[in-house]
Amino acid sequence: MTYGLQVFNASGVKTFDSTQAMGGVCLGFYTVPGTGGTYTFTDITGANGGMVMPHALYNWAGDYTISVSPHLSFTFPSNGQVRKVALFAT
Amino acid sequence: MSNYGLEIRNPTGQLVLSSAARGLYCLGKASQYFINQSSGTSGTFTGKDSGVTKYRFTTPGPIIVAIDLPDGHYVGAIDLVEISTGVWEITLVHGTSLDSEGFITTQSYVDVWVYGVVPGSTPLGSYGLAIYNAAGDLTWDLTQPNPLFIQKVLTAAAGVGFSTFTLPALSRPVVIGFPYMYQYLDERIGANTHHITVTRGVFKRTGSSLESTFVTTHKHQFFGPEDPVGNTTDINPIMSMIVEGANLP
Repeated sequence: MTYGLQVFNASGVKTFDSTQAMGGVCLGFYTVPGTGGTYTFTDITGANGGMVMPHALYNWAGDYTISVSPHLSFTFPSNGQVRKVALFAT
Repeated sequence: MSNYGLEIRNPTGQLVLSSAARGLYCLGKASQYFINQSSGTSGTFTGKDSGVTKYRFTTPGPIIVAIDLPDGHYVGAIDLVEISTGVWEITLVHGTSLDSEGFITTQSYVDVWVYGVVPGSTPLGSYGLAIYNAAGDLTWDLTQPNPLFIQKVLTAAAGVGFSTFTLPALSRPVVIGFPYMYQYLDERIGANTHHITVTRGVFKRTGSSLESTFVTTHKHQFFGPEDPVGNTTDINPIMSMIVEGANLP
């Protein structure tokens, strides 16, 4: 690699490589109430977008909108369903 | 980024490490807990149900689940439940072939791993990289043997159902996130007689190709109105992550 970060474990196995990684970084786990909610991350700047991964096995968390300006923000509408999600910045 | 910490992006500009975010890592392998096979007869009112496999893992949570994709196998997600405090039960369908009605012929166990945030009690390793946020909280512990290292994100639009993805060159591709797709199919097979078939989205890997498709999880027969009540489908977008499983525990 010409730039970036690689991390190896003590056995010499590469466990992270910033030139191959994608999909963003996890911002944490959240329980969105049935009334919906907005989650804004002022410490994350320059994000290209976001990604929502349910805690559960499935990969769809219902409808939501993502904005990146002025800060990365996820908005989940009211739908009467409690949603448990992991949020990612990309 | 803020005036404190570390951000690293990949060559396309995607954020792949940030001290303001939370690194996830593999907490371990879920234990095999329960298996059964399909039962019942589809030509009856009670019908036929798919078998399942179940796995358990103990950790405070929350968690996300990564599942192996053996070549040629069907793998699908049924449920994830915290059955008691800190005990997570994962239910899947998994097998190598389908019968004439689309049920997985024989359920068998598949490897399942659990990812989560670094527990506060986990000691730092002696080798690697640890990153803290401005509050002094450990946010990335790359001293742990298996940090979440996403190497591909798969996406498909709502309503597509059948998609084919090309996997990156990995020794053992493992997926996080399964198709959230259902079909409820009403088929008239005779005078006032219907078959109801319920299918669920699964992944099937063939070499470096991964397809989303359906397997049958329930089928029964009933006597009802002459006109079918129609089909119902719920095919949501796919957004799954692929990681290397070769070094997972």
